[in-house]
Amino acid sequence: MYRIVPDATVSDQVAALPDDALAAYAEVLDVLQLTPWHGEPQRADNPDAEVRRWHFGPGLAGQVVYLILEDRQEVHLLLVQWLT
Amino acid sequence: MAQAGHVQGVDDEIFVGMLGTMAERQLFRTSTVSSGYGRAVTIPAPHRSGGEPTPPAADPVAIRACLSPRLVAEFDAEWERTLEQAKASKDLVGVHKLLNKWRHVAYGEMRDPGSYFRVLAKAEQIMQTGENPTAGSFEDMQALIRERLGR
Repeated sequence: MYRIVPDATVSDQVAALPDDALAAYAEVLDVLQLTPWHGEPQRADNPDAEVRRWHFGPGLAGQVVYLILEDRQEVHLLLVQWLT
Repeated sequence: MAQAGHVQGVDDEIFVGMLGTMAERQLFRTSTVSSGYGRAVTIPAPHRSGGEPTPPAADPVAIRACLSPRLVAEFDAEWERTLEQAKASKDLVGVHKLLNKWRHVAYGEMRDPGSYFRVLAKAEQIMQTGENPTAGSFEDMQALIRERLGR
């Protein structure tokens, strides 16, 4: 199981999510602790890259960008966005 | 055929659009740009409602208009590669995923220019040092979510 490590800026971004997005985001956190590599690579030309993203919520308006440190079994949350 | 990173013919003009009441007057900035896809288009620049930018549509021309030249080059390269894959597979899922990704990138750049590369630089820093010096608390984040969702 991977340990989630959010960047300090992510906390504010999460706090700004609407409620329906927040519920979907919470589900993403559960998934990222188990299978973070199932996310899309942030750079399409590097499918094995450690920086990945996961879209969530209605209309896939939410996006989490994260980094996987496989040797440490950590997932670092770098950015959470919501298209308003 | 589009050329990656090729942006030309930018011809900005500014005019004041008169809409409705005096209170609804808005300043518009439009750009006539090479779309990169064989035609020139005039598009309204992303507008702000109450100071907040509005995400671009899931459209390559609208997205490109929100990006810096460096990011336009990156978008074009991905766009070309994704279209080639779609032509071969007859599957547009990859195109939709790309547009959704880049809508987020564009929106992030509109709200906080340079944020895309700052996130990548932060990732590089964490990979090199093994830690994030500005890490927050996951437990606090979970507590916030529980409180908001009433769990």
